[in-house]
Amino acid sequence: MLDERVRAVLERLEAEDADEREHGLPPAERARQVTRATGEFLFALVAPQTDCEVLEIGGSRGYSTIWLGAGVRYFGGRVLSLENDPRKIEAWRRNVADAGLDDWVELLAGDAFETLPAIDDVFDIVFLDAEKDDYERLFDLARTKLEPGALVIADNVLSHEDTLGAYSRARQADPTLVSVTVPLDRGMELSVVLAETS
Amino acid sequence: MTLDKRVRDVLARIEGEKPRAPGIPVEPTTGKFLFSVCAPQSECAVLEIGAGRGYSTIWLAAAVRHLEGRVLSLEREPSCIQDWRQNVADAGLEDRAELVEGDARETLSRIEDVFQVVFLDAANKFYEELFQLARGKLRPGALVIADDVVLHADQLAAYSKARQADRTLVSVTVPLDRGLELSVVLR
Repeated sequence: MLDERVRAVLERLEAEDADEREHGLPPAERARQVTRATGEFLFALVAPQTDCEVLEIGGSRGYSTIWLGAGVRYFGGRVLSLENDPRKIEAWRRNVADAGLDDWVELLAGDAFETLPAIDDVFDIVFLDAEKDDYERLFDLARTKLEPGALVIADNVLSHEDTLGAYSRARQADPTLVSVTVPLDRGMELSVVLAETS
Repeated sequence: MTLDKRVRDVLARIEGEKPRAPGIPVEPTTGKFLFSVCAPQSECAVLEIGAGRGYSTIWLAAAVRHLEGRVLSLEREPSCIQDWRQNVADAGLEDRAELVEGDARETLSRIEDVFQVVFLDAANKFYEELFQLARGKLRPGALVIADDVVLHADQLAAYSKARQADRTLVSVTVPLDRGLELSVVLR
């Protein structure tokens, strides 16, 4: 559900993001959140699903988490979000609480390379939005938590084609996946798992 | 998960055929996108308005098969209907996809089911009317995917604009291939 609480937090975060860009803050200090259209896109993929378990790798300050969390409220599900930056974690908790989504989303603090292997759950959807050099290794770690039919959405594959072109090519060449690049905003690679193991 | 040799062979055969109107198939990348949307869903009921010769139907039906979903396809062109039945049978998906013959503006109003995903790929001049007919069969959380909104922006920009201005929906244009409008029902 996209109620007034959720809408208000999303609009505030969009204004903060625009402000940070305008003031030329270095990327490491910015939220680096997805665009509104990408948020709507994530919402559209999650909303029709029943009991949808979402893993978000790179929660940042919670903008995309809120779109995903609002999406799973229709037919059940939850979002597990991984984030390592203490300042972002603090903002994430405040934003998610303001949006009234505490019951639907959970944050796991720490380096995804340590937290992810320790997770025992299985996920229906993974949203990968972390450091670009880490995508390949994070995909491999997430892959073990996915059953056939699961979908991995990786952001920035067109905006960072120099680093991530290889990621898209590897997914599209993998016969255990169906993978397609969606040219929305920074570009997303959508990869469906066909078989248990590669 | 089910994209077996029978399915792949039929998809590859249709991709190799010269596109014939009516019923020009979606691009393979749009097929993969539809597959991605439906594959994670359990018991996914899909309504396809404008089935053509079954290319997009096969992507949708292959996606919903392993979690007990189904596809209901509407088509009115006799030549398309015949090819649709052949293609879907060749792919081994008859038990997952069903065809309702006739003009969707008539058949849709008689359908009593509720759907999680609608794929709208019919005559562009009827999009508005068909959306309104489908809207009555959707609960909050349901997703409508309308094709051609960028390629035929001259006719369909108004469709996208109306969806994006509607406070009971969240709607976004995805510039993949001919352009897809994704609209989620909020209430």
